[in-house]
Amino acid sequence: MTVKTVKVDVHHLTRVEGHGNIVVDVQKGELKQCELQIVETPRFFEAMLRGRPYGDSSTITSRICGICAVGHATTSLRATETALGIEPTQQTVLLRKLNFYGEILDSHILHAYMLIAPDFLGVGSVIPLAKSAPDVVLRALRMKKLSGDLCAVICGRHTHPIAMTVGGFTHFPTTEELYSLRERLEAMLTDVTATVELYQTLPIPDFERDTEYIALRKDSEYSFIDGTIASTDGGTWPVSQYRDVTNEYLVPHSSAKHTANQRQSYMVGALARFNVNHDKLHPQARAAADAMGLKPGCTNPYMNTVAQVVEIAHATYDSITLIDKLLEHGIQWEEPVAPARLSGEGTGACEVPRGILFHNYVIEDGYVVGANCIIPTGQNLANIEADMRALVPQILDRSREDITLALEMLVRAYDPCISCSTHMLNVAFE
Amino acid sequence: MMDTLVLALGNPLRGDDGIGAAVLEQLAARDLPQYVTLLDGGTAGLETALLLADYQRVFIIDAADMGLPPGSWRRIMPDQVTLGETNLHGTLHSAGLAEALALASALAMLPSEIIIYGIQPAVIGWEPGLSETVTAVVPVVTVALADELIPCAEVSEHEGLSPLP
Repeated sequence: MTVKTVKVDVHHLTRVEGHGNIVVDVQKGELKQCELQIVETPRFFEAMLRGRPYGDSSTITSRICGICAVGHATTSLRATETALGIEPTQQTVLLRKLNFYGEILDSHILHAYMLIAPDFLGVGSVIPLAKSAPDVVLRALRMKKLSGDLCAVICGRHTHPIAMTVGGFTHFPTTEELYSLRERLEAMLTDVTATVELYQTLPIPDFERDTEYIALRKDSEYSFIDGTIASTDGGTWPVSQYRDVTNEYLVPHSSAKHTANQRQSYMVGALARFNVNHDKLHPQARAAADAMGLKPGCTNPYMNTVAQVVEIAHATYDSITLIDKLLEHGIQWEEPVAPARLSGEGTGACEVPRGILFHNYVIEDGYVVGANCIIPTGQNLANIEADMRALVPQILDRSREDITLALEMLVRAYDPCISCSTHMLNVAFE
Repeated sequence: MMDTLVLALGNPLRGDDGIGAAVLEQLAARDLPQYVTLLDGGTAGLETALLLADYQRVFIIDAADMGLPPGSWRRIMPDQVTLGETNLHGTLHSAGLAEALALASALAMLPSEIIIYGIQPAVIGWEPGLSETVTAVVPVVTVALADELIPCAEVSEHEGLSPLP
C-alpha cells in the first residue's frame, strides 16, 4: 500500500487577523483529519475585569480587538447598563449606531478590498493590486479613511473609543462635524456603487452546505446593537439566554472554545445577518444584494464577503439617515444616565463585523465580580471545520496549490480574527 | 517652500518606542515655518499612504532596530526600509510604515522627498517613559530636524553633535 503524501507549507495563513493552522489529512481518499487549529494563548480579559469598578469594563474590553474596538465597547456598555438598570437616551442610541456603522464600514472595506479582492484579481496582496488597479485601491483607502474619521468624530478617535461611557457620551460632535460627515458620506455613495460593481465581476466559488445561521433580530431595523437572538433553523432567544444558544465546549486542537446550537455548528457574521434580517435592509442595500446575486437562504460561505458589501451599502445609506435625525433633533449636551442600582447581572449583545458578540457581567456594589465574553470567530470555528470537511472531498482532484487556495479562501471568507498562532497546511492523500 | 510633514510614529506606552512623540513635542515648542505640519501618527497603518500624498516632503521619526548601540540614530532613505538591505532590520513599525510606503509607491503617490530619522531604542517594554540613553538623544535629533526644517537655520545648537559614522 502506498500513500502519497503532499505537504503544502504556507508559513502563514495570510490576509486574516492573526494566524491559524489548517490541517487536512486525506488518506486513500478518506478524510482522516480536518481541523482549524487555534493555538493562541488565552488572554484572560474576563479575569482582568474582576474586582474593577463597572465603569472600567468598556475601556478594558475594547482592547480585545483593534478592529472591533467600538463593537466590544458598545457590547460591554450594554451589558453594564442592563445589569445596573440604565436606559440610554434616544440621542445616545443614535450616536452609538452611527459610531457602530463607522467600524462596520472600516472592517468590511478592509476585508473586501485588502484581504479578499487580491485572491480574485490574481495578485498576492494589496501592493501589486495598487499597481495593476490603482483606482480600486485608492477607492478603498478613501472609504476606509472616512470610516475612521466617522468614529473619531463620534467617539473621540479612530479606534479604542474614549468618549463612550456607561449611560451615554462624554463628548458630542458639533453640527458642523455632522454636516461635513454627511457631505462626505453622500460623496462616498459613488464608491459604494463601484464596490458593488466590482463584486458583481468577481468569480465567487460555487460551494453550498446547508447551515444554521444565527444573528440578532429586531422588528424595527437591521439590527447591530441589541435585539433577540434568532436562528434560520427556527427559534428565538432573549439575549440573557445566550448560553442556551452558544453551548460552548472544549476541543483539544483549539484554545478557543467551539459552540453549537441546534446542529453540530452554526455560522455568525454578515451572511448570517443577511439570511436572518434581509427584509430589514435599506432598499439600496437590497438592490445591491440583487445585483450581486445574493439571495436570502444563501448557504455558500464564500458569499459572506458579498453580504459584507451589502452591509457597506446599508451602513452608508443608514448613516446618512442617522445624521439627518441627529441634525433634526439638534445635538444636546447630556450627562450620562446614572445607574438605578449598583448590583446586578446583565448581558450585552451586538452584531460586530464578524458576527454576534456577547458580554455578560455580574456586578456587586459597583464592582465586577464575574464576566464572560463570547466572540464571533470562536462561534464560527466549528462551522469552518464543517465546511472544510464538506469541501475537501469535492476538490481532491485539484492541484495541491488549488486545494490550498480554496481552503485559505474559505477560511478568509469568514473574516476570522485569530491571534498568535502559526500556520501550516498539510494535505496528505493517496 | 515645500509643504512638509513631520510624522512621529510609535507607541509612547512602550518605552523607547515613544521617541517619535518626544521629538515631536520638542519640535512643537519651536518657531517652525508655516508650511511645516507636525503629526503624531501613533501606530500608523495603510492609510498613512493617503496622508503622505498631501505633502512634497515628509520626515518620519521612529524607533528603529538597526543593530546599533542604543541611542544611535540615522538619517535613512525610504528604500533602505522597503528593501530591507544594509544593516537596517526595519523600523519597529515595519508592518505599517514599510507597507504604507510600498503602497504609496505602487500608487505613484510618494512625496518627492522622504527622510526617516531612525533611533536605536534601548528598551521596548510594557511601560511608558524613555530610557536615559534615548532621552539624551531627543534634543540632538530635534536640533538636527529643526535645522532641516528651518531654511538657513539661524542658530546652530549642534555643538558638534552629528549622526554617528
